[in-house]
Amino acid sequence: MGQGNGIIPDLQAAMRAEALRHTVIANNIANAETPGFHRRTVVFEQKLAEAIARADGEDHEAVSPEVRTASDPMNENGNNVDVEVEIGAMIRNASAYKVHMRLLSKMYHQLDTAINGI
Amino acid sequence: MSDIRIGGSPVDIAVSGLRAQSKKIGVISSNIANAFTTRGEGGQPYRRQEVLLRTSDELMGGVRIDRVAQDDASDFKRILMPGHPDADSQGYVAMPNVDVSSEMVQLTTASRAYQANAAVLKRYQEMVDLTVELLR
Repeated sequence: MGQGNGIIPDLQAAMRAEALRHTVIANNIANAETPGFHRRTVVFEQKLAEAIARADGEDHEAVSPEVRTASDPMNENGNNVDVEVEIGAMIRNASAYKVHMRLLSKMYHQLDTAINGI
Repeated sequence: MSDIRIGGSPVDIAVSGLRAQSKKIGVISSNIANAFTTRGEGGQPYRRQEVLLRTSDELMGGVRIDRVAQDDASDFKRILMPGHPDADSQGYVAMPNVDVSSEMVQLTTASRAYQANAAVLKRYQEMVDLTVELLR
């Protein structure tokens, strides 16, 4: 594989994390009124940045997203979901997913050009 | 680039606006619900609440909810209802200092502001989509 193809697993990992985050946000919104529910977040980009800073080789591919339970201040019924915040996070996440999907599609398109010619 | 630190992204700013207006709508609905509550805390009638908004400390960081303050400045309305259990010796009942019609006006303003913030969020999303389209 050439240099450029190394990015495909990274894009796939990012998209996996974003898909997971979408599910987690959807779950938060679904539980917006559930007493005692604590919102969850997905930590990925931060872990990836740390791994890249630490790594001298390829081991940042081993970074996997982590679901954390947030301990923000809670309202009366022990729930800390704020629907507006979740919608903002979902929009941001969807935008990142779209960018990564387009980049991945572009990478595959390049491979296709290399194999079949223009 | 200048040294000025620009705070959140448009998403964060619009979300802060949505949260502020949603809190406002919550407090207005409490005021309307308690417009005729003659006994609240300490046996006094309900006092209307007001949300105080502040700009975020960060430059362009959106809005934040400072606190929910109680309106102690305006007086209770006194209505003649001699048969009411909470009436005083002259037959007057102290009613909350809530003016339902002005609360309705504020409710409309707050929900319009909420819509405006939601429109900003939607428009920003469309802008990002437009940029993503360039990646074809």
